[in-house]
Amino acid sequence: MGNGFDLIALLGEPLQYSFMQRGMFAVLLIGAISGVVGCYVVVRGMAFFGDALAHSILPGVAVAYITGGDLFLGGLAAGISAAVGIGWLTREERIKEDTAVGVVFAGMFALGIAIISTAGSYSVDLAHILFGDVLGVGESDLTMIAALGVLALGATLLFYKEFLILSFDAGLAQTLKLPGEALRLLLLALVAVTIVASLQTVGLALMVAMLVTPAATARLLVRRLHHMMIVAGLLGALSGIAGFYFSYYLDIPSGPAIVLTVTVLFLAVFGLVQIRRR
Amino acid sequence: MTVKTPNILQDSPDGASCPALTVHELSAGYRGARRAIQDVSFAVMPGERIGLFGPNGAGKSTLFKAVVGLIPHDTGHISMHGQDCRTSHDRVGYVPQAEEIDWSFPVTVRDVVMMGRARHIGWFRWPRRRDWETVDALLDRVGMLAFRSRQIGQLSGGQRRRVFVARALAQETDVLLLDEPFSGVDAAAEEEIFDTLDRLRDEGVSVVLATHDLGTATRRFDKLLLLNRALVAFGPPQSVFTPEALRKTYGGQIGVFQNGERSIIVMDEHGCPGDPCE
Repeated sequence: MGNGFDLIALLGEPLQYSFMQRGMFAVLLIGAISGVVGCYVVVRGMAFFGDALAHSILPGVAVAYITGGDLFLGGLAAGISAAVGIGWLTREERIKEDTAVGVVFAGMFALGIAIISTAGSYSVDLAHILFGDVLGVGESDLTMIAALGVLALGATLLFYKEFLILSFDAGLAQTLKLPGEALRLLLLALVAVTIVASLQTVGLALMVAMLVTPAATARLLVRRLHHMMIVAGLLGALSGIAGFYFSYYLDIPSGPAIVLTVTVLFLAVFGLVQIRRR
Repeated sequence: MTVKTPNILQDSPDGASCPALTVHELSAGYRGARRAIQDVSFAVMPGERIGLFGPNGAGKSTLFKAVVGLIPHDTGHISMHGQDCRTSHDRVGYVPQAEEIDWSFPVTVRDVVMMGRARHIGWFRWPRRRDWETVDALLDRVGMLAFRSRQIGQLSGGQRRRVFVARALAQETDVLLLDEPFSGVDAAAEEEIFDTLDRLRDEGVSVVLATHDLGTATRRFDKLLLLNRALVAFGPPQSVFTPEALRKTYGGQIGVFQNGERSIIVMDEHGCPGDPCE
């Protein structure tokens, strides 16, 4: 009985303050959204692209940070520019896609760091952007995260079967006269929106783990894409909350705390699956 | 050497039985590139089974992809039951080569077949009970109903092809194009695929099947189509399967020996002629 009481106190303590409640709600939402959208990243083999896109939004975020503009809009603008830039470099297959992604991603990231270093409190600001600062989630930020989440999950529901066909057999999408190129761009936009929404809680540097790890864990457990999305969404939300507490009690940034949680979960499931196969 | 182009319109026996698929003077593929095809004409009558033969690089896949609209064709007409196919590609069922598919993808056998029904279900909708019933009926037709909940990668090569045949049928088509369905498949599985195709033939489904196996040519097909970038010959096996036509199709890499009534054909492992195969 005493233990139960302690646990409640332990879980309740960080939530005395409204900014902490907002932070926890934010990580829960982000975990769920990136778990679901990340399933496409995993089945389509877009992990490198996702990582690159997350890093590429730094210059937009940096400019917004310095000028006091909206971080989400800055990030979204930079993310779209990066995606269009990669598309332009790879047209007619002049450069391989992963090469173009590498060039653009490193260049944009360097530009972002250069811009941030012109600001006074350089290292603190940079750390928050790279590794997340769950305490900095304001009222309007939470609204924005929720709105982006509804957008991403709504699009996933509405276009589920088309995205499935496009990912499994792009040839069939074309034979069925589905607008393949538009669907592909929409899917990239979904990933970009998810990354921008996760900016404050997870941070850019580790964002790819939220997209890839819960989805990869779910893939080990189920064999249909929509089941994978449900499991990945739940794992993401759970890891978000667990990471939130680790961050509070161990005094580490929220991003690494959440990412370490999803990583440990993945390793545990991977191990269990290996043992069961024997 | 010029090849006589069959006159499709005159070759149709009468107005009542109009060809299921008509390909007229089709040229496709990037100009000058390997695998480009030129001026290919043939007609497939309802319920007919056509064997498409030719060396590697002859343009067999190019022909199929042009017919289903995966690559654009610059000249020629494709029509189904007399209707121009530029607007109705989704009515030709195409079973791609096995290596074009990621078999570890998280989808079940039922999910794969359901993909063929995407246009019938319509935008923004999820499959309804009626659609699942249709899918199960199709799986029954190809003898794969018992495997409906398996992940697609857990099936053998021959079973995968039959599931893809069901997916093509889900497009509500009566013309199927099968690209190398026997590669990587053992003799028993090949027999099962032919059993499935026999049953479909009784239902009036026409099949064009690309294969390397000349041994099946005379027994298994109503007509043969010999292709080497251009159409070499098209017609019933007895009239097409001549030493001269085979030499023209496969170049110097084939030896044909006449022994009274019987012909003995000797070719290298890949069916490669010297020239176009590099």
